[in-house]
Amino acid sequence: MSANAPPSEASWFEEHDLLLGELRASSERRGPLPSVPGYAFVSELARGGQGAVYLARQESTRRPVAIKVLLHQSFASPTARRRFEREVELVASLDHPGIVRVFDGGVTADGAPYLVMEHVDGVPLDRHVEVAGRDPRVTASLLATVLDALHAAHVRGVIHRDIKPRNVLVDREGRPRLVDFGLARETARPAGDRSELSVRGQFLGSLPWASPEQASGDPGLADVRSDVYSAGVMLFHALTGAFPYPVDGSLAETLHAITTRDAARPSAVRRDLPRELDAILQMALAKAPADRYQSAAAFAADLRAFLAGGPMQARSDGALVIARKTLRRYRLVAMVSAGFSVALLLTTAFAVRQTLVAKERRAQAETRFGQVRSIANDFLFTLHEDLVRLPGSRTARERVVTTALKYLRELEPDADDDAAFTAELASAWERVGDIQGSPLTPNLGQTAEAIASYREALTFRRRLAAAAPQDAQRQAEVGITLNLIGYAQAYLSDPMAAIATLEEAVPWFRSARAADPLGDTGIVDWVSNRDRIADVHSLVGHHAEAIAALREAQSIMATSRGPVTEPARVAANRAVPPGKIAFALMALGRPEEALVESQRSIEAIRDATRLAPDDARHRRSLNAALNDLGWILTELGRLDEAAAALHESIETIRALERVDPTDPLTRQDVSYTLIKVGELAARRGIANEAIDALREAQRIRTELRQASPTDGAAWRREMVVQATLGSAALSLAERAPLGSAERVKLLDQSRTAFVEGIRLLESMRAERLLLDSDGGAIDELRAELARVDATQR
Amino acid sequence: MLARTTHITLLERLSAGNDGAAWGEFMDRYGDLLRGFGLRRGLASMDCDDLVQDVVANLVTSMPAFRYDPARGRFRGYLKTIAVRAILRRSFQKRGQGALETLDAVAVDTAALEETDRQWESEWRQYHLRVAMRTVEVEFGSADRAAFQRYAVDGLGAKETAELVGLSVDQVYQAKSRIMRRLAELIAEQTREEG
Repeated sequence: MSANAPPSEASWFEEHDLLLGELRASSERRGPLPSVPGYAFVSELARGGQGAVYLARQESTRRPVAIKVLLHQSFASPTARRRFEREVELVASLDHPGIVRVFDGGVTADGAPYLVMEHVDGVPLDRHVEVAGRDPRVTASLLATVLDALHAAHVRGVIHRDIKPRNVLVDREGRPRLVDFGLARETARPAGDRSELSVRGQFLGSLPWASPEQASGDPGLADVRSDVYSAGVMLFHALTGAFPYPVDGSLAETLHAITTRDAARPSAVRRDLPRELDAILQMALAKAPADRYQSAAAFAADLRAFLAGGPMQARSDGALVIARKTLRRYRLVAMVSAGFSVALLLTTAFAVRQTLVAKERRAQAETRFGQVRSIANDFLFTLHEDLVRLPGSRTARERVVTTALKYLRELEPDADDDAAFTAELASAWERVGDIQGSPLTPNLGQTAEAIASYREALTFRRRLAAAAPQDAQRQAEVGITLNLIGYAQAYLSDPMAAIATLEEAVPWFRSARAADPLGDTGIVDWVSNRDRIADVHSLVGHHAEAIAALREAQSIMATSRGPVTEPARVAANRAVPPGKIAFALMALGRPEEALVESQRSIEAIRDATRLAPDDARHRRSLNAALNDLGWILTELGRLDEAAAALHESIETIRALERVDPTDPLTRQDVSYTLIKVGELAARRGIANEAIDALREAQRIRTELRQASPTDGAAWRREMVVQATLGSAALSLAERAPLGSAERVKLLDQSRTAFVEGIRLLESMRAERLLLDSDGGAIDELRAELARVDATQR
Repeated sequence: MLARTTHITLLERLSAGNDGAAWGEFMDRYGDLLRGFGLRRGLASMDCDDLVQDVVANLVTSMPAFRYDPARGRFRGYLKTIAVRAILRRSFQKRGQGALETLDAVAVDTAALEETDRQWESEWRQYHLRVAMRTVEVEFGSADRAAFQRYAVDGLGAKETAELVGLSVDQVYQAKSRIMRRLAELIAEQTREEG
């Protein structure tokens, strides 16, 4: 062969002109630089299977940029092109020091898609470690930085899908930067390009870095945990130069290895690696996404814990995996208890997203999913919750709602039949409604607007339920949204509308129950619905209807099938209906029956208190229930038993007061109970006890009013205690012997109290705190005062 | 300096069998070489991909037995033989013509052999340039590389290059001479290794 070789063979590269000749030949092969309006191409930086990256300058700013032009890519349809452009928009919204920024993107005149990116002077991770070495600590730290950036993207709803060393650029200062976000799907190779076909020994592009779920079929199913997995393969490879399982066989063999073969321990490949890295990679490379780190942040945290020598999440004994599985089982129950939290929405969002099947729609859904989620999370949750704590932030909070509404209306036409997206949209509308005017949370007081937002949500909820009649959650969600509307209507003093709406919700809870024969989907909300409708019925004097609704609540609770995770809470919930039934029975003039219900309620609360002795809420409930019992017994004429109940009541609430002597809510409850004790003592003719209790109640209320001088209710409460003291002293005086010192003293006390009550009402008028309903109070107190003066001393 | 896998260690890893990364690197290094050669031999672009696969398939079966032995000829000659055979086999199959035994007889045309060697040599040089450029990419900043490309290779004026790239004219000259020198060193090293 050497005989035929050209004579210059040995030295072509040593001769300047020959070397330049070869360089020019190589340049010619690449063809001319592409052109994109607005950018001056400087030169080609790199070339790979997907395309080439060029150094260019943006003509308007003169800043250097990198432009990636994808080869052999003409979009099959305008839809595909739009999808690419939307994807670019989403990726362009990522702003993180560890992510290469995308400024712009489009399609060249030749139909090749291009991306304009921040120019990073660096090399891919695999080449970086070849040069810099594979020191375990340095590598772990580098990967933790990559994971931070990945997490930042995940939080924005962007999944990378093609995490591999080639997509991590390490700049000249050694900082890693992620590139090519979200492009994997868009740049899937066209059918005609067979350069990635399987042949034994050939690298299959991104396949060795793929997660089991990506390898096993539909790569669109990838979620954040797929990226976590690929980052694990990348760490394994960076540490060892090898893969966790063989990836050099045929396509089928490689897929099989990725989906079924357990990852090797990195220390088996390279003996000097610390065992902590074995545990971390074991967790990152778990086959089931649920067993992996659930976020890139958790993965990064363990790498840092390893670097710092602290405790890690990853354990080789698997105890944590089991614990997490158990946790998942109870998550639904926990979520219902926790209420509508950020975590819940995020979890639901991911869960729903994973059920998306329609391949064609996924790209679109993904983009919009990210948009809605960022509205729901960044905007409605984080921002609003920060604002709500700031005094005077009302205007800003209103702005939040206005902006959210604008976004939501823009997104709406996209909803179509895409379930995950529709659900996100519904949640976002509900959240907007909450902020506007949910009676259950701090709100802007725009209850009518809140109802309108809930109705928007309702439209989507109904659509989702109709599409999935066997999906218990979807059925229950319609009921839950109707509940929100009903509660708001009740708050707006529109009881008839509230009752109608709450009744409308019931069939949805029924079908949720039917669709979920083993669980408790919607049960908490159904019970809450019955409880609330009973309140509304009571409010308008429909006591029999209220009782019927509460009985229904009791029978629904009795059918609960789920595990009891919080027995104290269950007991406390059990106490509510009989307590309210007792109240309604009293209103109907049936105190004997009321007594039975009241005792039943107290029994349940005592159970709750025993199960959770430190929970102040149960003690507060016991205090209120004992007050009601005292009232019922008083009405029945069983005054000694009533006194015993009230004495236990005052002890209960004083115990709370001792723990936190300044809590205004507790002090309020103490004063209320003292009034009840005082009234009963007056009725029983025990003057000292009556006057002492009422004066203590008055002192507390005066202090509370002085602490919040603009709160009309605090003034009114002080006025009530004065009036009660006046009446009690008067009735005691009337029973005292004529001319006795006691009688005179009581009449003086009564007079002082009524005068003070009138003075309070006059101050309220001056402060413009008087309501129409307070109008008659002054006259009543004056009449009482006249009675005192008319009473013989 | 660079800790890159040398050509010889790559061949050793390949002959050891089960080393996926080694095959990846092999494809990385020689894929374009083989594809370029195929194009010069008149294959269609898609057939070039098939050519690469044919060659790799052939190497996979022979590699475990392959030992680098300068006495038995150079690796690049070995690779060329396999590539030429694969191209011929492919064109024969296309034309529906027969037996593989006739291949050697067909290839004996001397003029055709010389042309083949010239094309292979040209692709081989390009291959060496690409490998060397990879190291240059790690060692030099993108501004230096861009200046080198535009001034030394494309023949743009030094002043215009300086303006375009954002360097001083002096830096443009330096980039050219430093990268030229480094390329020559690297390719010398590569060809030495190759034996």
